[in-house]
Amino acid sequence: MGNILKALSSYLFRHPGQLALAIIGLAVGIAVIVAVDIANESARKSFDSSLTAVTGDATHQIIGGATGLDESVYIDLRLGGIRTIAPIVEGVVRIEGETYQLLGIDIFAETSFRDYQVEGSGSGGSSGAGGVFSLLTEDNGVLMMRRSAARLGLKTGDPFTARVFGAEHQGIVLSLMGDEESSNGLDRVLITDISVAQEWLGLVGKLSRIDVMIGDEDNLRASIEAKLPPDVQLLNAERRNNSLQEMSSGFNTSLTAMSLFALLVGVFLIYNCMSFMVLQRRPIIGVLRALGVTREQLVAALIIEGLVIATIGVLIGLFTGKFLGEQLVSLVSGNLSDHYYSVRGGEVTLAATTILKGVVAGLLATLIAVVVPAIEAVSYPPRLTLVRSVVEESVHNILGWLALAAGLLVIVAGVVLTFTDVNLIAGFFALFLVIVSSALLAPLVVKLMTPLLTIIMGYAVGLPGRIAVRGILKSLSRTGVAIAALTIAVAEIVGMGVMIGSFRENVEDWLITSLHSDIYVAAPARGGGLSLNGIDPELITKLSQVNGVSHYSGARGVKLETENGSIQLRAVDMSPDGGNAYDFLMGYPAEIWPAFNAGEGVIITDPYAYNFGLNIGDSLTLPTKLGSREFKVLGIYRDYNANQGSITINRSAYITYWQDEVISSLGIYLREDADEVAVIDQLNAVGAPYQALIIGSNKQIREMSLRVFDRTFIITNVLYWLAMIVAFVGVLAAALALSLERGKEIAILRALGMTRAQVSKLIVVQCGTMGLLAGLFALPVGMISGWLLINVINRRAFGWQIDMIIPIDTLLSALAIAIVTALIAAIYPAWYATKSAPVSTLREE
Amino acid sequence: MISDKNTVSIHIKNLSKGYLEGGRQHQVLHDVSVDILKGETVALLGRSGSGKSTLLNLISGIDIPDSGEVQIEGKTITSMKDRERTIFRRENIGFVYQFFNLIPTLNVGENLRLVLELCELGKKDSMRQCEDMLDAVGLKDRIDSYPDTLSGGEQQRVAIARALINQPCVVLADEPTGNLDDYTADIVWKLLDKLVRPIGGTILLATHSADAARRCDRVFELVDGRLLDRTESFK
Repeated sequence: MGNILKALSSYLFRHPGQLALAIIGLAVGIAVIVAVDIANESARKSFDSSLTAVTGDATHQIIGGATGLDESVYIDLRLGGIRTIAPIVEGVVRIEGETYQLLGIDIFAETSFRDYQVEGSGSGGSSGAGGVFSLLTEDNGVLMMRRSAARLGLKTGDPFTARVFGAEHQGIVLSLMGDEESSNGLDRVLITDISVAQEWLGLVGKLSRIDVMIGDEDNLRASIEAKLPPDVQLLNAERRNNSLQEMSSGFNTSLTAMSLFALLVGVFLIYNCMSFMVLQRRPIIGVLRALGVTREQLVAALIIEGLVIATIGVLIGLFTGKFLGEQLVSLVSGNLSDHYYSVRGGEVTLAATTILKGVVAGLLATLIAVVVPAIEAVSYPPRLTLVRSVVEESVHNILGWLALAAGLLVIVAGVVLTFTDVNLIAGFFALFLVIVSSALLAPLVVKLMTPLLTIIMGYAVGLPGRIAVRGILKSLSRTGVAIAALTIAVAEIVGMGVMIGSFRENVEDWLITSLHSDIYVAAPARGGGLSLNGIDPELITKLSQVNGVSHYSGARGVKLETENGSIQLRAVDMSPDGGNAYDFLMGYPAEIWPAFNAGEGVIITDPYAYNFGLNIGDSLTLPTKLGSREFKVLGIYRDYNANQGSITINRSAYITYWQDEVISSLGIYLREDADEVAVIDQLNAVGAPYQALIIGSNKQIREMSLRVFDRTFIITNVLYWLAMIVAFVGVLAAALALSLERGKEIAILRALGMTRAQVSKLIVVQCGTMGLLAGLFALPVGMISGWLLINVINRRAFGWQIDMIIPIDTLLSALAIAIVTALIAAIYPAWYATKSAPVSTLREE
Repeated sequence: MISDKNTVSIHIKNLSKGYLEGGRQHQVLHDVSVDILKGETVALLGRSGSGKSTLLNLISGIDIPDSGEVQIEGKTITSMKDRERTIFRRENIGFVYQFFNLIPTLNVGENLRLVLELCELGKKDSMRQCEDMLDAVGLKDRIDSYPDTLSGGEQQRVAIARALINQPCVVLADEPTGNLDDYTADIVWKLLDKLVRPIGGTILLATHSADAARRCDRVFELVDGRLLDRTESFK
């Protein structure tokens, strides 16, 4: 075996470039798979650990209604003898541009719920609380994670400024928690006394929730429930956390979709590089077979060699992937902190599952890439093994089978989609099958398109053009895999482009429709989205009297907490033309509005209807001040505002059921001759003495919304460029393989009088044609992927209904990217081909 | 092209070439000098590895010598730059190889037209010239066939047609019949003779075959890197 291995591997050592390319290809493939997985995992773990750290050991949570949770509820429970409860006030503050979660706690009630590991206090719950007690003695003191403090350049005793919706509060770092390595899930969390949190967040007299620990004693639960006001609920903490997790899972969806593409492109690259190494040595294999080496010995030797190379590639890939993952996590964390929760960036967790995924992908793809051509190579009589055309003939012979397999995969995908209504994993599986089937079809597409391209290139470039295009078909075993990899990468750009483009256009239309007023005025939401006091009624009157204001409509936005997660409830005073702001997907406005204005029911967003399986005429139950009440669904309208969707109710009905007359936002309509900028200035001036207000024009809000939208998809751009790099290495490997294999042909062309520049041109044309083929095939594949992303993945993940739009510029740029990528990949092979003197190749003959 | 036996077609002066093999310099050609006249057919004999192919490669400008000079039709190709040499080669030299070396991705007609296209001949003219040449080698009906569907003899006839299609002044043939049976080799040789002589081209034939050498005007043998005139032995 030793000598067989030596005979095979000495070739690689004599061609270190090929060996390096295989290792680089493998490493790049693994790195992308690992990096995307790291980004996904880190985001999820970060969320999990901060949620667990903040929730502590609570088994249940007491949640208030639309108008929040009065702290009197906590006092009553305590006085009622219930001890295993802890009040919490939480909200978001910003320090030096970074978002932190402020957690207000009652120190005496807290110790059995959470462990803060404050410095100098040892570890463990009770001892850890030693430092926590300093919160009682210092005004505006906070406990901060050591990592956060280091990032902000703060140490114990340092003051800092926290901003909460325009208002500034001076805080002081009392103690540091954790160590520099671990964050204990509390990175970006500030712990303070409950009274400080109430003051900073504008929630004086209110609580965000009460954490409860209930063992197996059912009577304790019943006892607590008996003491709660009608609109206050006792919820299972785990179930509530799960629903919070679902909120962020939507974001992870796009990452998962990208990782799916990255995985496939990575696997194709590995296959391409490793199979090339086997195919390249067919003559040696043939000679060894002729000398009496058995098939089994040869296959075993190739597998051993492949696994050794794969191990090196995997190791490099894991390290590179970790570095790449760190960069991705920074992007992910920025995005998640914007939209969902605080996530630390710059640090990654290389989970065992991630390593396993990378190792398995690398070794499995290597194994298949080595075993398939190895078995095929040794299955011929030794004489035929030496003949290159036998390989290509066998590839051409299986094209029909590959097409059949592709068809079967599409059918399976269709069946999966038909029999799974809302399952997201099933949706991803179907998408995966469709992409794999397109990869299987790629070689056949190349074969079918080559005759036409040969004619076109023949006219455009002459006979060298024909040589180039026919060369692609002639070496389909190489080019087919590279084109498939490039197709997937470009299809990813098209698919995501179609999805994002359609989504953006839909959002833009929706913003135009739903933002009906000229100017919007809102009271800042504090303390976890509650805007308890809303806009001062006296101020509303003054604002309505500002010169240029025609009329206004008031609205109240609240969050209702249920075990199924937060529900956004919006109560509106419908202005005469306010109904135009709703684009109904189900129901007729002529029937909906009279019933709505009469308080006979609610209208709900499309995602809400989808997520909870509701239809017109169905009823939904909401926790009101008067207890749980059922509301009839009158209409379903388009909305892209919240993942879980929201409910809109007539304000009069809202006041009846929730006994809350607060108005938290105003839609102001201007007179025709009014100057918008001047009115906004006046509104700001009028509001300033009363309270902080967020005032923006229709246009400003639209632009801001679209900026947030664009930021959400930054990571998507990064990821598909990563996939393109992988595909680039794939094309480079294939082009180099062709140059090496066709060295003699190139030498003949040089001998016939082709200049170095003409030979370079031939290789560039060949790679460009590969790019063109991949790009053309990627367009329909990408559009199908885009359709699946819109109608299956997005629908199942978010419930959003998006009308598909084909962005022509995306298609054209994807085609251009495919060609340019292939052309860039051609530079080195073109140089390499002309560098070698024809005489040396002809002499080797 | 009119034959002019008194004009030197290939002038070789003090040509030397060696290769570094396994760390040792192997001198293939040593101070070789010879003049080959226009329209002459010259055989180059020698054992395997004696330097026959190297000499042909140096004459065609595919390779460059360590020292010495090669002139073809009065032009010193050894002093030309790579691009100049390449263009000179495509216009003045036809090459026939032992293993045919047709471009597998082009059909028979395209293999011939490639040379004319490189010489920037118009499509119509090149089509006509291609058909005439294939007619001459008896393969007009195989114009659309690909090389791998032809027999060895047919492939070599196509290779000869390709070498002669732009009427080069020099034809270099490296063991053109070495891969063919005697009968087919005879056909090929007759064809080469039939097509080159009328245009007054010079043929330099590297071969092991004494039979082939006997058909030539002059015979040289490469021994230890030196060129020895053996014409008398073959008369």
